[in-house]
Amino acid sequence: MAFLVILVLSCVLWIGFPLFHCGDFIAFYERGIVYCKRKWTLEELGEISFLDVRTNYSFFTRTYMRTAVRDFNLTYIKDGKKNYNRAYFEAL
Amino acid sequence: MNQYIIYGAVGLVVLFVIVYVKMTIDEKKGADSEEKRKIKEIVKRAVPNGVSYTAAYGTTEDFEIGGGGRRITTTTTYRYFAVAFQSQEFYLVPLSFDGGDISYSEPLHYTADSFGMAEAGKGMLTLYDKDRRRMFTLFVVESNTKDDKYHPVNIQQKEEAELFGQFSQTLMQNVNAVNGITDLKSAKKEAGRMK
Repeated sequence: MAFLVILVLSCVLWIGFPLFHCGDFIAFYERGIVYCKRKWTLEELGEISFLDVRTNYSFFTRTYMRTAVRDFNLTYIKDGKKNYNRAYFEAL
Repeated sequence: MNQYIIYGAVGLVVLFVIVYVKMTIDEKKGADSEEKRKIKEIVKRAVPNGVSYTAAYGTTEDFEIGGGGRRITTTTTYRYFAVAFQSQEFYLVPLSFDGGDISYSEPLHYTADSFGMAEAGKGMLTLYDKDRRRMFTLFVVESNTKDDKYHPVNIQQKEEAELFGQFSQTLMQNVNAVNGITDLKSAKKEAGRMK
């Protein structure tokens, strides 16, 4: 019985884990970004690139926006990279 | 036992057929795809006098191994470009794909004078700086299919790839002649020793 409870809790935790990130958001502005209520200017961020990370221990890929300041986790943010491209580049 | 072998074999055949059919459909889509039209449009918009250049889709792929001990990391960096080329110069317009959009930024302009050494192969052009350090290897291949997230387009470009092949050969001869390179193999070996 205890084993079943642990199993169910583990499944709930594994499935519901992304909910820990439900508050993640990013907004792109002309001179900088806001990520989870903190602001950075484009000058501070420097060169920006995107990195997908996949380990042998997971089926899932994590996406990061790499900057000079830090790597921002965009895994749980919808259309993060797409909005970045639309904000700062021409798009077709 | 024989039954399982037969099921396995049938499964493999079905999988092969599915993959082959998908590949064939992607190739047919790529002959005149939306992405191909967008690449040409991007060259027209981003490159000065873009209509006079031949436009093609190109990529670079750089593979690195890092980490140490028990932790080994492999990093593959994919870059995508609209390639505009003519006579002895070319532009690379950096592209980014996400959610159906193709975004582009400022083009990079190169001429034969930009390089210290060049090596052209089938569908690829490797360029070195004046210190003979490898800058990048550009792939412009005939067939590009949407295999996965990192191969995001269906573009068939047989004509453009052939023209790029001719362009690369000429560029290679000019760059190496200007830089006094008669034996490319030795020059690469020497450059490797100098690192």
